[in-house]
Amino acid sequence: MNNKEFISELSARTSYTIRDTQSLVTTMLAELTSQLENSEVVSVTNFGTFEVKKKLERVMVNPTTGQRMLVPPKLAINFRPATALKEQVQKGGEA
Amino acid sequence: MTTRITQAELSSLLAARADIPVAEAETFVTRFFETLSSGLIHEKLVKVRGLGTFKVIDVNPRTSVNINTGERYEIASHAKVSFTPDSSLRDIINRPFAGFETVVLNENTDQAQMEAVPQAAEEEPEPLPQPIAEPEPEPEPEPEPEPEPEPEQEPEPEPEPIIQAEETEAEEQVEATEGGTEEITAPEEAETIEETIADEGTEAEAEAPATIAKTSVVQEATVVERAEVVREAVHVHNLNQNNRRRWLTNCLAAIAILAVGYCIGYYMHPMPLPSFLSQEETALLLNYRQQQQDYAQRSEQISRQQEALEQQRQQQDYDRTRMEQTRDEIMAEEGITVQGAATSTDTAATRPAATATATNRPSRSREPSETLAYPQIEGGEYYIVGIRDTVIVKPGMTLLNLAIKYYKNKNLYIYICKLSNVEDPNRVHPNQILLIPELQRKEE
Repeated sequence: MNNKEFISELSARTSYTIRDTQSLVTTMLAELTSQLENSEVVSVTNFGTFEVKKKLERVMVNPTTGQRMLVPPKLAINFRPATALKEQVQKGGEA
Repeated sequence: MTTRITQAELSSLLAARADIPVAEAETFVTRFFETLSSGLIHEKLVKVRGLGTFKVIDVNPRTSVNINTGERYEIASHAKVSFTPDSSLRDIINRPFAGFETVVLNENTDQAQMEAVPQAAEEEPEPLPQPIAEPEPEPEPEPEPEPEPEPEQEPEPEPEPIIQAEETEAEEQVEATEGGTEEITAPEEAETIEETIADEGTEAEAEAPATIAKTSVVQEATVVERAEVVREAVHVHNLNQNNRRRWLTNCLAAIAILAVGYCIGYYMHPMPLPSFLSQEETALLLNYRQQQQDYAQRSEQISRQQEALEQQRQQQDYDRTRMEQTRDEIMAEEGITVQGAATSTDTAATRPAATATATNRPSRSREPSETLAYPQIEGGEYYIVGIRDTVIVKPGMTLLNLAIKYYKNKNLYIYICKLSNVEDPNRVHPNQILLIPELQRKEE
């Protein structure tokens, strides 16, 4: 399901037009992003938690050339699915 | 910092940002994540622009060892939800550390030598002051810089220093030319000053020695000639450069125009407009097309409404025919009971009696006839006994909201579905006509 399909599905469910749905999704994601930028944790019931985690700097070795690289620290976004979602996905896999 | 933002808070933020009621925003956010998870369950992959990709990954079964007991046990195969953030989202989140880049470490760099990296960076600007100092004393700097970069290249075999050396070379040349022009301009200024002095002198003192003026004029002439020659040379050089630059810009402009033309052609293709029309005319044409579309949509709506009305009318007709049928039956019964087998010719006497009973009967016969007229939900708590309202779906409306509005109970949306023939309660499209049923509780 790509973005287009997702938006049309969502617009069918919310009875907004596709354009309105897209703009609402964009504003919602902008809000979500700005919250995450302030290193807040966003948790959605029955879906999961979005969180920003700091990854420390590390030395990486290229296995073929043996070259060693120093990878800088970075902030990465992390998603933990809720138990309900995990169970549903498990069921969906079986069916 | 690190407070938990819940769904409700997110939806209130969305309501503030998008300028919609909070309740609507809340249903929207709920629907968003509902759609996301349903898509994930059924299609195993959902891509959302601005957020990222959610994927269900099947994990193969594997054996693992309990660390404490050393016992081997199997981890069953399971599905895992993975999330890959969009590159835009990733960049926004990582903005505080965006300046860093991966650095290649040499063979024998230790942790102690890691600190030497900034020192190396400091060494770089040092060669710069040298070339600045050199061109100033000597007017001909071009032979000098050529031998200089060579010794720099030799000791350091790494690729970066070579680039630096080249850069410094280029800088030197630039500076050299700058120095040259400065020197050229400097004598000119000096002469102009002399000139003005000479002029003042001639103005102020009439007896000023003409010889000095003459010699100065001669000097001026020669120096001006020289300066002009040099200036011309510089001019020619500049002109060449200018020509080259102009040629390049022309080429770029031509390419840009071609690209723009191609783009316009590409986008216009599905909706070809005559190119000879002026902007106003095209706007008018587009407007007209829009109006046509609007008109088509409106006529569709009207036809739909008419259909709904017709359905209602048909149902009413159906009701009436059933009523009449029952009345006829009653009349027949009456006729049999009151007058027996004898056929009555004076209908005037029986009619009033029949109508009297008929007026009584509908209250009793109402339930079966109307329950038959409308679709019913088997095993439901309510009968659908009439149409309470007709609703045209507006953006943001859901069946649940309607059920809450009319019955104060969201679970009753199934009756609306039943009466309006809605197959998927999740899919209600705008301008759809929904019939809200009048409900009557079933008696035991």
